[in-house]
Amino acid sequence: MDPDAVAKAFVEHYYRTFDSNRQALGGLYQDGSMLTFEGDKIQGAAAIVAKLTSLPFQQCAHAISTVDCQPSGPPGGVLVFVSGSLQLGGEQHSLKFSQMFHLIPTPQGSFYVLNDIFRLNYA
Amino acid sequence: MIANYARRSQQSTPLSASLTLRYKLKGGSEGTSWDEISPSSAEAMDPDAVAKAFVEHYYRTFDSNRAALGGLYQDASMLTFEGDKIQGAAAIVAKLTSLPFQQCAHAITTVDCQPSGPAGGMLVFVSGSLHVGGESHALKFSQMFQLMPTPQGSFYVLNDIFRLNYA
Repeated sequence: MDPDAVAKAFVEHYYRTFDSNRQALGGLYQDGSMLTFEGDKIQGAAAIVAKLTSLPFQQCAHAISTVDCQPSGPPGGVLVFVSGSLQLGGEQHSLKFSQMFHLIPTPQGSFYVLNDIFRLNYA
Repeated sequence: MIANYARRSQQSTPLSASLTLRYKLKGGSEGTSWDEISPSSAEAMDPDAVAKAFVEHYYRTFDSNRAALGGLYQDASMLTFEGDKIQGAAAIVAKLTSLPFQQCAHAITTVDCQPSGPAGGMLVFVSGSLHVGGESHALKFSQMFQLMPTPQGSFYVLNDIFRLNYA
């Protein structure tokens, strides 16, 4: 599969799911998955979903500015590097963020997130 | 003899020297400390330590002698620089040394890292600012690297993606 196509499809799916139903993100992670969210290190799908659903806001809308990707090595992995902004419900100003994902192919022909690192970009 | 010495002193410290770490970061309620471990113990290197050493080496080299960055890449290495895709150490060095500035100073704000899989790779995610010589405003950037181990016990950059973060 073309890495660019994989990255584009993944990014659209991920942020649409995040902005509508964070709980459903669990399907994208597995036991070995790692998330570093603003410096907090979390491992495993269950703990990751717990972290993301406990973030202190109800509504969130991501707007993506750039998506870059590269193949990550022999097993067919894809690195995805995203930058954009996010608007939290009720807040006046949007926040800028960068995020990287390492996607690994599943036997079923899909991808799961092995690595996920998120950082806000403060002015 | 003096000419030889001058040439040698311009070579950056190889990354392998920075990475001959024999320390293990120990955490505790008082904070973290470095515990020296003997070279004979076959401990895996602490990812955070590797990431820290790499980041310091990379940006110090970038800011002082961009041409010397070539030693960190190999033929399969990939760089995406503000959307431009480049492959191979030679082409990557050509790109970085052709950037339109002489002086550059990076200031690193955050470094995050995670192991990237069974091959022993490591992902390093950096954010910070950079000051280009002569410009009055600093630019914000984010960059990610995937480091892969070499047989000599060092690391090379397989993947490198750089983006400026515009206001």
